[in-house]
Formats: sequence, C-alpha cells, structure tokens
Amino acid sequence: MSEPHSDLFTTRGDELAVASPPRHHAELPLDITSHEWQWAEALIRDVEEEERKGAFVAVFFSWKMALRQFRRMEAKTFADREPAVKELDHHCACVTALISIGKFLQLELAKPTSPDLKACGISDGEIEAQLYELKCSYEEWHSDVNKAKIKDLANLIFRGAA
Amino acid sequence: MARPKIIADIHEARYELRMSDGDDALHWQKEYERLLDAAAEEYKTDRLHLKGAIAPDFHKWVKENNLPNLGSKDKR
Repeated sequence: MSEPHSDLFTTRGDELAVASPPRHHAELPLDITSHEWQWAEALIRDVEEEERKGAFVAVFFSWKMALRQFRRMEAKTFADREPAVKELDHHCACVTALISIGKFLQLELAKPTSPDLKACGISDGEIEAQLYELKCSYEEWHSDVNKAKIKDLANLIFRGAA
Repeated sequence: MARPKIIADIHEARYELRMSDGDDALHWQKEYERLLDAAAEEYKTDRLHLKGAIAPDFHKWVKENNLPNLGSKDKR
C-alpha cells in the first residue's frame, strides 16, 4: 500500500508526528502555499487509494473533503495576486485528479450493480455539477487559449476600454 | 476597478454552484451557464475566453463580499 503522507509525516517511536516543513518553505512566503498544496495532493492520493479498494461510498465523501481543501487552496492562491508557475502546476495536478475521481464515481453510480451510492443519498446530479465546476476551473487556468485576447477582454470588461 | 453587474451575477451563480449540495447544484449550473451566455453575447466573445478573463476576479469578489471560505461546509 502506498503511503501518501510519507513526505508530510514522520514516525517518532510509535507516534506519528508532523514533519517540519523544509527550510526553504519556512523562509519564502510564496512557498507556504506550495507546502499546503502538497496537503491537498496527499488528500487526493488517499481518495485514489480508496478508489483502488473499491470503497465507493468512502471515495465519494473523501472526494468531497478533498474538493473543499482544493477550493480553500484556490481561494488562497488566486485571491490577491498572480499565481506562481509552480502553484499553477499544483493546481493543474489536483484539478485533473479530482475530475478523474469524479468521473469514476459517475460511472460507478450508473452501474446497476453499485446501488450503495444512491442508498447513501448521493445523487448523480451533485457529482455532475461538481465535475462541471472542476472542468470550469481547469478551463479557466489551464486551457490553451490566446492569453493576449483574454487580457484585452478583461480590460474591456473591467475598465470599460474599447 | 469597475465590475459590471452581469459579472457579479456570474460570480454569485458560480459561488452558489460550489456551495450547493445535491440537485441544487444542478440548478446553479444552469443559471451560471445562462449568465455566461448572456455576458459572452454582450462582450462578443465565447464562454471559454470569458471564463478566463473573469476567473481572477472571482476570488476577489468572494473576499469583497465577506463570503465564507469556499472550502467551508457552512453556507451563508
């Protein structure tokens, strides 16, 4: 079994303790989010582990939890400044993994042999809407669009430029 | 920086989509798409470019409106 948290935790005797962040993370404010993005990625790897075990209900609720952490990180990364290239890379890795897990859940829910998701009140509509929202997030930050056109459009919208 | 009302409305629909559970989320998805189409028509562009142009403003809008963190379970 993989150990998704191995880079974040360390064992001290029988105890599991949070490892100190690498020194460069503590010194550079921008890298604080890099370290936090690693937490989001570790959460997603946990969900993928549950997916491999076929624990679909657990996958759904863990996916939702990972989504919340992902959105927290998005808000922190994109609210006040231009994100760094490294942060965009973390964002891309997380959003594509979350889309993949959501798609897996949607396919599982469609199978007549997997009724346990419906029994737990998990609707296809909710998964579809969250998948749609994640795809929007991917398109906004990672699509191969004309950046100059985007900039001109933003100027037109927010500054009323012709 | 001026934010047109239609852009604020798009942000609101997107926020509600993120925060909704169950089939409510689907309702907000449709509303978000309807508003996106209206704004794309107004600015003579397509959805994809419009999304890219307004994406950085979304998180500013959330912050300005003192809305709960997008990762929070608690709604307004």
